[in-house]
Amino acid sequence: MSFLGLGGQNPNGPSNPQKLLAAEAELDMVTDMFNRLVESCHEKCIKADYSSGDLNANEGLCLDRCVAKYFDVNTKVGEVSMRGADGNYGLEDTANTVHAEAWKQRILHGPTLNVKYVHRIKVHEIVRLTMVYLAPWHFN
Amino acid sequence: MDQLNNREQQEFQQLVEQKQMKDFMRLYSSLVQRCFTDCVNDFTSKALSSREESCLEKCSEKFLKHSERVGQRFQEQNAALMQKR
Repeated sequence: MSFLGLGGQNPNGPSNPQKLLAAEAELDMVTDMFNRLVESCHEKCIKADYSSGDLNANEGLCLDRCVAKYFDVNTKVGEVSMRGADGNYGLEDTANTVHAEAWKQRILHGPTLNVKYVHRIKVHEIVRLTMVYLAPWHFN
Repeated sequence: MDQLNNREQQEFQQLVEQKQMKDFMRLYSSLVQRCFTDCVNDFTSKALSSREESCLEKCSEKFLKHSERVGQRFQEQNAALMQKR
């Protein structure tokens, strides 16, 4: 048991709305990035002639590299954004400092900010299982 | 930031389930639009031709395999990022 936040948190204590909001924001961010990744790499790697329902070797290789590069671009853009005159392109001056703070966190921590909340959530598994459930004809 | 406690985890799980459904709907309608655009271009008949049907089958199957593979790589990259911290 802990009192006043000392000695860790109570595993059965009441929920903290702020923490849940942070977790939700993170879930949204990871989901959004995943969806963009699926969209971008499909556009770059998959030809629309559909001669087969399987990925061929080239497409598979292209996808693997595409994902790796997408992450690298994420990091790179973050580094460049941090390289302003005062280290963050004057984000401190932004009227909405909360927003500026979120942006800085985003840059500092990359797409997986506080991933401890959501790292067990497998976005593609979720979507696939839901599809099996709602659209079984795709899997027969 | 701390880990979520039991009650927070429960509430978060509910949130995840709501969002899953929304995300599925989004994915589903975008897949319909993608395969319609790529496979259906002939409007001399109101029925799908066998050629269009076969294209649709491959289009949706391929997209699902695509997103599964991207998902696997996504998790690997994510895990690598977390280890660096």
